[in-house]
Amino acid sequence: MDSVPSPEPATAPAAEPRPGQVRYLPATGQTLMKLIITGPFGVGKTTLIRTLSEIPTLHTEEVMTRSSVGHDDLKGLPEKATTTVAVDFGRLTVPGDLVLYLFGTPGQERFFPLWQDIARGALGALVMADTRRLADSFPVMDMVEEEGLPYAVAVNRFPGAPAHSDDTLRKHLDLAPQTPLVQCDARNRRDSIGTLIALAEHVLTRLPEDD
Amino acid sequence: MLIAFIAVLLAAAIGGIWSGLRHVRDAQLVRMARTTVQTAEVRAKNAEEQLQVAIEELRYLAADRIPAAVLALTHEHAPVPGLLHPQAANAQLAKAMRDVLSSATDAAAGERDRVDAAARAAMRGATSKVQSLLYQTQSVLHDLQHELDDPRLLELDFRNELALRRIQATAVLCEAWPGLARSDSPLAEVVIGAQSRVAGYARIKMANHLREQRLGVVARAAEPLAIAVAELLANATSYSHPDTAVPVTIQQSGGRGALVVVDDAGIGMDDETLARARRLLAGPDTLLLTELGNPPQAGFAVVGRLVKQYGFSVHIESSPYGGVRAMLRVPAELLTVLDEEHTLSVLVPAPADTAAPQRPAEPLEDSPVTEAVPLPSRRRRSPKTAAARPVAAVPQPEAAPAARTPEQAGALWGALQDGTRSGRTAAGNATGDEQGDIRS
Amino acid sequence: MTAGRPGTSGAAAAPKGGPPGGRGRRLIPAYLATGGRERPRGTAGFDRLTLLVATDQQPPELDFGPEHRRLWTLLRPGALTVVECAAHLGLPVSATVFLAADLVGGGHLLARSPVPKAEEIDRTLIERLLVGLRALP
Repeated sequence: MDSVPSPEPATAPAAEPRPGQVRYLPATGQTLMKLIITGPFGVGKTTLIRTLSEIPTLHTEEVMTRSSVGHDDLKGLPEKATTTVAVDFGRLTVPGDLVLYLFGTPGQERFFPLWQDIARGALGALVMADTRRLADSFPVMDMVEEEGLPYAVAVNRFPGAPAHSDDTLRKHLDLAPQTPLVQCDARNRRDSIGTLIALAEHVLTRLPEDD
Repeated sequence: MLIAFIAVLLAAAIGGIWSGLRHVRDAQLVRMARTTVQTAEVRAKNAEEQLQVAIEELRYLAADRIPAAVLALTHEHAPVPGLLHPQAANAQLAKAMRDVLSSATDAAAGERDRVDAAARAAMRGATSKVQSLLYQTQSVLHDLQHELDDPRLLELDFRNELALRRIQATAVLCEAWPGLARSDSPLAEVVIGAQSRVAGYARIKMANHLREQRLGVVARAAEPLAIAVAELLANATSYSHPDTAVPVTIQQSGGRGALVVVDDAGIGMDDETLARARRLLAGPDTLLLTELGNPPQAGFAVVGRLVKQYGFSVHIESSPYGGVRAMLRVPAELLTVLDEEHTLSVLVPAPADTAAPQRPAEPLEDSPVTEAVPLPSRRRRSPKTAAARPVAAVPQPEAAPAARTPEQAGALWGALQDGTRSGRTAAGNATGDEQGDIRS
Repeated sequence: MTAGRPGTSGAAAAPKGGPPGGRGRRLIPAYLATGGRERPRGTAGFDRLTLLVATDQQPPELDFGPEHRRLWTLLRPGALTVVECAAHLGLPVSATVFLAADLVGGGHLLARSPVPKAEEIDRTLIERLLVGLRALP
């Protein structure tokens, strides 16, 4: 996993839909599942979702702006954009009549009180991390653990980011032995599928053997 | 001797004559004096009467005329009485008293203007701060709406918007800047945006008759126009029965301008109210807070102020729907045509031709090479509850809705059973916290 | 939340043809879709992943707003989940649920919840998922 990620953007999904084209689902026969992709701002959640999604990543997004009220702003200057709200999600149809919905969920602490709502119905969470600022992922990992949601860690290997062995990273993240850690390039489709496989395997281990 | 005797006689005669003459003159003098005295008595009496009149007039001036004149500064129909004794009053006295009256009202008006200006300045400061806070709340609510699916966030957003409209209107009235700069915005969206700021918004039905769907309002006028339309809509909804619709039409007018027409089936206005409304809508030069009445009836005054500043105009008349029709004309210089790419909101009645929002692929960030830094470490957590939650907690469709009293739930359900539109109406009425404008 | 999002740049970088309202503070709030109601019609819960399918019954103009008809039109060619519909309409999921519930109530849409229930998430399902993921191109 220490190979340097390819600098090119990941292979686009085979059927990258053209803008404006809506990709519909069959009306019956599918099982829909929800996965949470989380992590700190800028860690690559959108990239991973875009790499995997068969639909253009849809944002429920607007560029939000700061209020222009206040003594500095009374001159009628146009507002400055200050924050972008986005909930990204993507869709991945998996052979066997399964459809995975990947929800990019902010890993910022201000959203934590609301996580139960966000994570409701999810199979598990993929927590993304960046070795250049590993600690940014700690709060969301704490929170996911406290919620008891099964998760795997995907370390997004940004070009130029320092490389570390899985063991080193596991130690610093204080991962439980059974919690998967995968190093990946979120732009790479195989890598990204690998993170989902790791998560699914982990979910499987937590299910009772017999039902 | 004889001569002496003659002389004596003569002297006596002369003395007699003289004496006679003196008697005559004395009598005349007496008569004259008597006349003089009589005249003086008359004059004195007159003067005393004049003084009495003056005292009465002064008392009346102090007790009635000055207060009435000061009152008339704010209540143009308040009568200002004249002199008590117009026939008896001395012309100079009357003029002096007119001078006192005007001097007193000037002083009162000057003082009132100063106090009002100070009040407006204080209000500007307060509204600016509150408006800023409400926008911050709006941003947070907007974020949350896109993260979470709880409909109560929509309700909160609406409440916040109602508060914003009030504070913004007050700010405009106090000569503040509307507090928000927009980019060029589609006229249809400006009107729908205005609709969303009114408590009874579900009753407002917009018909879009624009030939050019991308007709836009230039940046500087977009927010002022939204404020003005919102006030006209608020007036229409609050003065018409909750069961009636408030039709709004947007159309292009002959001279490259556009027209926003708001009708209501309400109680209409009498001539005097209409005249006062028209004066306010024309944007009078000065408008004092103290002139807005109690409770303040600010809607048309707000519109008038914006009319004055931004160059659109509003005319009101009787509506064929029974109530009032307000016609807001947007002149060509405040209009523009937006570029093809501008996607209209789905909430705008417009041809259903807009594709889903799409975005070009974004390049991956070029992350600069960073030095290897020592990695931080953390301690892992355990689940808060002893038993970890199930692998996946799935949605529970029958999950209990948020706490609500059975009465509220019943009322809401009853309203909803009547169908969507009437349900909307009922729910809209439940939020009827509009404040009246100047209809009587 | 990856790099290259417009949020880090100035307002001028905001995409054109983006969500309704474009740059600047929102002009049209999503709550308009509720028509002043606090709760969506009916009591059945809609999830983000509730699948919506249009029926042949077109929603009449008189009873439904433009946003309702837009949703029905969007769904004419095939099925989509609530969250996808929301993104296509540029509305939050909560507001979209109001529209969907109205249309389902009027017989213009069908809603289906193809999300497995807790007891259905078993090893078989996850094993199917793993087989499927490994078979992906």
